[in-house]
Amino acid sequence: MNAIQIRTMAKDFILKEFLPGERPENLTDSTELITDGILDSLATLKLVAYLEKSCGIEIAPDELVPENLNSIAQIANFVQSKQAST
Amino acid sequence: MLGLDVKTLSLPWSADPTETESRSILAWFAITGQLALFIALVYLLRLETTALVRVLLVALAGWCVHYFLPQRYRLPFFVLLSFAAIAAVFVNLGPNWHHWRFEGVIDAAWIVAIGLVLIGIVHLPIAFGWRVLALVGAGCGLAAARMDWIATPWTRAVWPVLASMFMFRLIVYAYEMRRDQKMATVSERLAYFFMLPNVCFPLFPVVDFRTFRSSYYNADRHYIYQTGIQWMFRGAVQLICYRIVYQRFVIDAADVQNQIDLLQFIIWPFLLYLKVSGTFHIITGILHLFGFNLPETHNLYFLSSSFTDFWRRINIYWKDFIMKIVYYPLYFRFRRWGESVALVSATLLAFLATWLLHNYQWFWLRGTWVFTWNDFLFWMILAVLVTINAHYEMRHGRTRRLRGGALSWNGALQTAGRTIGVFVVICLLWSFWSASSIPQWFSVFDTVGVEGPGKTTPALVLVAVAAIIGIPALALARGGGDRQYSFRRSVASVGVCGLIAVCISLPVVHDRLGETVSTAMADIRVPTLNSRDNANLERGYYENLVNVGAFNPELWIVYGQQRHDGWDNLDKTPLSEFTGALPTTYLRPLSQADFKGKRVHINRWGMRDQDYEKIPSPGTLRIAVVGSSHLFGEGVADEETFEGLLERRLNAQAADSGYRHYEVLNFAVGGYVPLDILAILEDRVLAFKPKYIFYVEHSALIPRMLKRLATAIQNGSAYRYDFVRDIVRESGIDPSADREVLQRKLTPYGERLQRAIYSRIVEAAKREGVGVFWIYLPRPDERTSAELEKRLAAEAGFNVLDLSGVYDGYDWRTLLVAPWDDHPNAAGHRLVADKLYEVLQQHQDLFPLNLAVAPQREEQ
Repeated sequence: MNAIQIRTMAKDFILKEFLPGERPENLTDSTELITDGILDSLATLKLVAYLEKSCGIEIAPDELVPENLNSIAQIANFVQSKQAST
Repeated sequence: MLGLDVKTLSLPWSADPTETESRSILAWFAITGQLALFIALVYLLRLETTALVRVLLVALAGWCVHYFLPQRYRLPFFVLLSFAAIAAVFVNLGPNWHHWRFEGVIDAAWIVAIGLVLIGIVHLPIAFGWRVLALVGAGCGLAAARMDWIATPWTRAVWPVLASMFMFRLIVYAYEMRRDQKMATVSERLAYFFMLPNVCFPLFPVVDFRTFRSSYYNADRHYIYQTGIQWMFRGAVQLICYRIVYQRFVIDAADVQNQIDLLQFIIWPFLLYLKVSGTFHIITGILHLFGFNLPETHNLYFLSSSFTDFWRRINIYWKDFIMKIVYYPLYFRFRRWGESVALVSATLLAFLATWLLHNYQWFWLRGTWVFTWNDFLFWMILAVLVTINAHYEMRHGRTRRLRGGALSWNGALQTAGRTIGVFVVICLLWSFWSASSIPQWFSVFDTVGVEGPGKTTPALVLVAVAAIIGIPALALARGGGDRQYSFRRSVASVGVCGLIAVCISLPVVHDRLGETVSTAMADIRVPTLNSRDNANLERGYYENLVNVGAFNPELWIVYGQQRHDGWDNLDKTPLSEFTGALPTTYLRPLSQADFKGKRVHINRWGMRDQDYEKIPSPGTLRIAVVGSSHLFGEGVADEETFEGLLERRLNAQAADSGYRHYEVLNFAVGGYVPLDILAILEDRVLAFKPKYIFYVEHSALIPRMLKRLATAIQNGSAYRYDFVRDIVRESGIDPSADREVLQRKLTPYGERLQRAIYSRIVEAAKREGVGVFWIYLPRPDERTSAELEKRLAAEAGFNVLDLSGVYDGYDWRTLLVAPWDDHPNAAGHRLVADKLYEVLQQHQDLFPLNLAVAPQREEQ
């Protein structure tokens, strides 16, 4: 799975689950998801479960930090690095 | 970026090739000016301890230099400033609060030394598990010292400061060290633990180490600095609101008599949390000035639209800490049993950990434990509410929006409605948490259905609360809170508002703006309730931690509030003897001790006075004075009490009055209430054959009297009075009930009890042919009326003398024994003696003395 696919997948999931009705173009790759309150703790857990299932990775609790999840771009980088390490 | 067209400064050092930051002399001036305004505001309104003013001055001086430093020098410079701040705050710790001493530097050095050892343990070259074990061992050793089981070479002032730096940050730091992260530099570590404003704020936000590092200059630096300034002013506004709530809206459970009181009782405890959020904004604001672009600690928590939202908005750093250390690890461990089980278990356990860690925090800051049912139930009820809410959100989702987005009117109205509901529930829960006992909290609901005396109705209050909470919630949901940042606009608005606030804070300005403004400013400037109110109020978990200095005399000195070591109540000294009946205490005959900085001697009869024969000699006019702490002379020397001054003056100036000698016997005891005074009068005073009795009293004494009566009913000593037996029988109150509940039930009978006590005093005196005077003596900072007490005294048959205005023309702050103690000092006692003499002269028809003309009052 390449970075573009991961970004698309993550964006679709976030729009569908957390921002229903939001226009897709308003959610950019650099939108701050944690800082802006889109990804709260519950949403983070949902997203993690989804990423683990869809991308075949395992995420540890201490990896739930803004550096990994604060934007769609960071999510894609994080998933790719996890895939590379497994 | 700044919106400022200014020439870049040329600097004396060579430019760092990696540095692309702009420097602007205008921006420097703008931020320095705003910071100076902020310091002036804190100083003029006494918003915090003087320790904060000192730290802010260090920060201001440091910032002026820091701004021009190359980036690589800034963090080490910040560390040096942090150490300088610790020294600046501790430098005046000494045995005498009047003078600056340098012994405090030793304490400051201990803080740094212990801190370095603790940080060193985390970096020992041994397995992580052993390092944790070593930390726990060090913690146990320190805990033993905290409980005074082990003697330490440092004073107790060190504990709250050391604890606030290390009790949580070490946990976060060790957690991060366990992960194989990029090694932090020495400066980063020292800056994290000893960060600049910490020394004057024992209750400090749990800053995350990772965030602390990653936020460092992660945006345009002028934006970071200006955000810090904005947050500091925001904190100041919250502290001002807190003071107003504290002075105007706090109501004791015993005073809750109707529905309006009940609503007030439910709402104020939650509003007092403004003190915590205000100080946290100031703390993070100061850190911004040195490049730490930390996130908000609180975000409009009064406008939470659900319980999970409340948990996310209030004390955000705490929430993040618990999520990181407890919640996520537990959730991941439990999730093999399913999402719901993991969510419910992890949430409940996270709140259990929160409760335990709040107790842990209390222990380190206060040195005691605070296990109470209110506390436990508060956290558990909140846990259940958040868990149910989180489970619902997990199943059904929650409405979120991107920055700048807005909900539909329908959605916004629903959000506003939910916000009002959450606010009401949290208020209820917070008042429960702050109540002194569970039965006391439940007992206030007896007043449901009891109408208040004024025109205000509960419906009106509820509508007002709904509007105050609902309208901003609606605006927020409609996207009203999102604005584009502009440095220039921010500087202009903060600068102008700050300047206006500072101007109004100046006495020379606000005294000309009318009585309302002047009174409001006086309320804001008074940091604490007076001692009477303090004695009556339980103020909740955070109130006791943010004011931790007030409970730690050494730290109080360090913080410039300078509370003296020997500043206990009279009943904690060897001068006092507890009777377990009425009066509650007697003074121990022939005892002497240091009390509130003065040597106090008690005569053979148990009076703070010179020695007298039990029966007055012929030709002597004897006056017995009864009352409490002001008359006793707390904080002044034996020869400085106003009754002693009056006696000397009578003897010096009334030589031709027909009496050879005057004796004024002081039967006052600090802490006495009218019930004690009645008892001592009957049991002791009359046996000394006085010709007159002077009963000296203040205003608003009924609540304290009821508190004492509740105890006296419980131990049976109050039943010596028929009027108490009658009231207990009539009211049907249960003497075995909780003391606070009993006090509340007695409140409607307060006036009747006071009248009965006064009548009995007058009757007892008249039976012995003694003339009785009731003398109203205001406190230096008196703000309540004594009309009720004066009326009751007159109706009972006292001759009423009024010393109102005794302190007129003087700044009452200059007449206090100490900044934290509202008893009059020696100058205050001189004024009282003069005024009393003057009033006695005016009432020679009641008090047949041929007194000489009183001289003009001396200027202070």
